[in-house]
Amino acid sequence: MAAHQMPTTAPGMPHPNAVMATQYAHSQPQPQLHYQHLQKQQLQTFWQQQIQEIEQVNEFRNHQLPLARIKKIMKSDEDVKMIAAEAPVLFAKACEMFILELTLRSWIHTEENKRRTLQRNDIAGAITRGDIFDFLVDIVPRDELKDEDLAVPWPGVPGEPVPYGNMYYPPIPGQPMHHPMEMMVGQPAIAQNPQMMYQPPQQGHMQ
Amino acid sequence: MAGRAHADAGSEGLPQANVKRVVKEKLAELAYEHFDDDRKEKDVLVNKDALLAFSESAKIFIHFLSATANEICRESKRQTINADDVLKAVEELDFPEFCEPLKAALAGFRKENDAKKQDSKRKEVARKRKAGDSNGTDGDIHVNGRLDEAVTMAEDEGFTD
Repeated sequence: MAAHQMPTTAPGMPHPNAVMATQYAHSQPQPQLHYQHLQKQQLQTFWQQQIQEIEQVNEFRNHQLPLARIKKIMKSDEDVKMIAAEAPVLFAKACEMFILELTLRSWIHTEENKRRTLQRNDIAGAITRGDIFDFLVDIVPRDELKDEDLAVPWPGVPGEPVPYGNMYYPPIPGQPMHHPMEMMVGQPAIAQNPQMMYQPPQQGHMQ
Repeated sequence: MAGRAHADAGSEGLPQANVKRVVKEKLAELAYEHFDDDRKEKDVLVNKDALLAFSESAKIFIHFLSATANEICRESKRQTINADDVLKAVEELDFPEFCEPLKAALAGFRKENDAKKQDSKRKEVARKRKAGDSNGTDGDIHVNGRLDEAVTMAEDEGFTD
């Protein structure tokens, strides 16, 4: 009989697991732990699958963002009158995806600056890169951006071009660079597309 | 937050806890995907100020999207913003990658909603039948004709906010 084969079972022990357990119990105490480990693995897999299934089902039921609050925010705009029941659902999903997108881009900024904490200026950095976040330009004013965003060469990394917004600026050793963008302090860094200009609702408290 | 410009102070924002959850889950996912070392499991921390910025941004996004959807709706001479208006608005704002997941969410919502409606109609029909048995219905469940009727009645009543 090959070493890896299980011996024929004692009568009355049909279940393979039981056979294994019996076999192991008869040999040494340690394999008992091995069996328990296998069982634990199986349970883990089982529960992971359960969780996945639940998450799939819940995807449409449990929204990450509360619909009522979203609807309230929508209605704080006087121009918005009637909203079909389906709309807040889409808004919740869109808003969630928007936050995910912004988080991703901000995280890239955090990583580039070798930090472990995502800071407000990372979000500002994400906003100024690319066009799609232009409507957020007023949220985090440019003066919030720190030196690291103005393409100052990192100490200890001499001679390497510093990337900033898809453009590379060769560092001047020993001197902080005067980034061309600095000239535009006080203005949005990216030309505002008039179509994208958005005036938030101007009004007092709406309850 | 003294000294910080608020783009709009009118409406209350999204609950911080929810926003925080979305952000932290994403960061955990990113750390897991991008690192092979001990950074994989370590938390990426989020500054409190940054969390506020996420909330504010999300709120502005909602305003921006609803204003755009509202315009699209008006252009079609309608009063009620519907799902299509929202989908078109999302494209117009240059987030076309959102469209497919949004459509999936919409389909799921509609399916769930229809199931709920069917369920409550069935219960309604059963209740009515119990109450008004003089209509001569027998003990068998011949719901087909009456269920259609009940559903049509419900649809006529409309469904707006």
